[in-house]
Amino acid sequence: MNRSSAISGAQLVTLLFTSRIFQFLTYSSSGKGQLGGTAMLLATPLALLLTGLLLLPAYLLLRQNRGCGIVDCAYRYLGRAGGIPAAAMGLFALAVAAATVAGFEFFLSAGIYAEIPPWILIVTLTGAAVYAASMGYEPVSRVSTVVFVAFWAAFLFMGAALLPEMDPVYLRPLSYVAGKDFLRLCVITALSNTETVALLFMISVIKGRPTRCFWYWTGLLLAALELIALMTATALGDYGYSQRFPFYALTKIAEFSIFQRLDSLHTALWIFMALIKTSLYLRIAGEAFRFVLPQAARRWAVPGCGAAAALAAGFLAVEPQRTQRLSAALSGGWPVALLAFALPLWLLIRSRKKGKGEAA
Amino acid sequence: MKRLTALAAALLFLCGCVDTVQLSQRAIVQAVGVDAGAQGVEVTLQVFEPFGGDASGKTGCRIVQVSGRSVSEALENATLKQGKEVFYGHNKLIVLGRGLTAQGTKETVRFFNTAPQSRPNVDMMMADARAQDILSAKLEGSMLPVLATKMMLENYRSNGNLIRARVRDLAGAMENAWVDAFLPVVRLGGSDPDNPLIEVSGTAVLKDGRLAGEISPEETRGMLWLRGGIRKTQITLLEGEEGAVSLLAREGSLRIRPRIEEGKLVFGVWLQVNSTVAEPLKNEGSEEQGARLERYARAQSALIADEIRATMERLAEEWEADPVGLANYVVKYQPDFWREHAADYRRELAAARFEISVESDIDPAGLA
Repeated sequence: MNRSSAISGAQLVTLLFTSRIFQFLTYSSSGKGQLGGTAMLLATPLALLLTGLLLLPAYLLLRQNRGCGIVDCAYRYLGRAGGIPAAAMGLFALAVAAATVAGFEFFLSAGIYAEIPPWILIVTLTGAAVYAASMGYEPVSRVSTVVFVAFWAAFLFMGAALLPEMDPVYLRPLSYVAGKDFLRLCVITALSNTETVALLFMISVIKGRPTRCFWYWTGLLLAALELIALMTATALGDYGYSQRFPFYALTKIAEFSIFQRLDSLHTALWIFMALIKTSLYLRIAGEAFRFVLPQAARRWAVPGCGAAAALAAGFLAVEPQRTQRLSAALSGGWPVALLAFALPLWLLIRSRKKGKGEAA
Repeated sequence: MKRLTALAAALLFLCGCVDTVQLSQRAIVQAVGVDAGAQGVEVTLQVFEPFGGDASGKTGCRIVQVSGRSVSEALENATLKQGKEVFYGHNKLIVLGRGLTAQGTKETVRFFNTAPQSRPNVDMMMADARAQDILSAKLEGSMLPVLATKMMLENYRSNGNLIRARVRDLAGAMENAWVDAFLPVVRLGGSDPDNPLIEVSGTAVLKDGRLAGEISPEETRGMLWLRGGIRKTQITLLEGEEGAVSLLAREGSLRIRPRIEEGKLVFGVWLQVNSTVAEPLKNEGSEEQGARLERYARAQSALIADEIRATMERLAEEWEADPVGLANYVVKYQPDFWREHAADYRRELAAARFEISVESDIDPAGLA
């Protein structure tokens, strides 16, 4: 891992927060199939706790291999087969980057600029993201710090503007939701957190204490997601069901005195957030593929991933269902469960066996 | 890195790849009227004219009338007719004709709800006759008629005589099978036919997107009390020999709690109203001021309760309509009842009882 690109714990928190929250801003709802605001309000803290439990094997593994990332550990305990987890992480990050670009293109063309050709958005966003990713984690995280502050300012202002619109009558009792559906919501919310994989991959570039970073990140996410769930349920009410992008609808209805049309402000901010998320995952994909690529090809890892992400996003943009299918697969649970839980658990078991073997 | 920087810089040259429309090539729509027509719909647009308005009374807008099978087709025809691209991102008002509202508003609302240019907070209302009459009316002393109309709406609203209906309110009602939409009804009035005024004559209630009936301004206020939307309204009490006593009332807090009694819905409504006396009290008789204010408070409470009851009799009992959104309270507070009776909700609403308790506080400050 390239230590020259090391970032502070606070930068990691803002980077992961910006990346994670972006998914909720442009989240495309499934209409009346949703479980409702109350379920989301209660599921979010449980899901974040579950994420903590999910990362327990990784915590134990990385504690006994200080200074190493998850891929370093894979090489240490699996030998040359460590390249398989590295390639899997690279593919995963590449898929997240492509889904982010395609999803954002869908959001812009379906909700705001209906007449803009998709390729313009894909090429400009991916091109800028490749440039940012090739600069390293540190410059991207510096931008994310600025965007993080701007996001909270805009978000809280919008919340204040929406206060008169909020009606608690739309917070329906949890008894309308079947127990297994609620449990599924908790698990899926936890396993759709692709940033847990990013966190594990980036452990070795953090200058601070990763555990503390994780809890700060979790706390900020909890606050933001609870507010989003509360505002979406109570301020939008039934109108929310008619909206493809519920959070964007919130920005459109928020008005405060002469401050109107806050959606333009938020959309401008989200463009930066899309750039940060795409850059982060392109960087991770590039770093992961560097482990398995020949020496001569390594310098082209990030641009190569950018080109692949742009092509994939172009393929996905042809039919919005393709993007939805990929996003559903990525946030469906299995990829995060495999990379953030099963892989560290397996490596932990291998390390214990190896330790016992060496002791014997 | 230099190559990458050059590549990133090259992105700046892509800005010419997106079609642009100059401001002079746009028809900026201020208000839209939609009427039922032979083809489907007749759309009236109030289009902003930057150099149109002057002190001689000429307005800063012109009227464009087009028709089509749908609103989007009519707007496309408007673009073709004028050679300018219709831009309704700044639209401030949508007026629906009575005929269209009677036929059904769902398609029109759906268009304004989903079109990327359209805004969810745009006010909607129903014209007593045709929407084009309202939009084409020459309002005296107004360079931009839509602003005069909006100001009139705001005055009615701040005086508790109008319930604001926006695109999102109608779109929300379309998503909830048990809650109905409503629209303020406007008509042309005033004594001078050459200089008409736009007046609010009541509220139209829509069931399943179609006009179900209209309620009077008094009943509108009854509905407003239940929706928690009264910022200020004048209440006139007729107190025997004292004659008329005017109070300025503001809605404090509102609580609606449904309960089930003998298998029937009972809506408990608790409302707190704060008032001030609009005119100084005449110092008549020997009654102390405090006792007199208490008497006024009781009379005000009874009047408000009667207004609410009369409104709900009309809406719930006669029309089985729920523009207040009482279904949402049943969903929240009586989930077991709701599961059993959701399909029959409208009949249950018609048979429901309303227990209305109004608490009035009259501020004696400023009285002699």
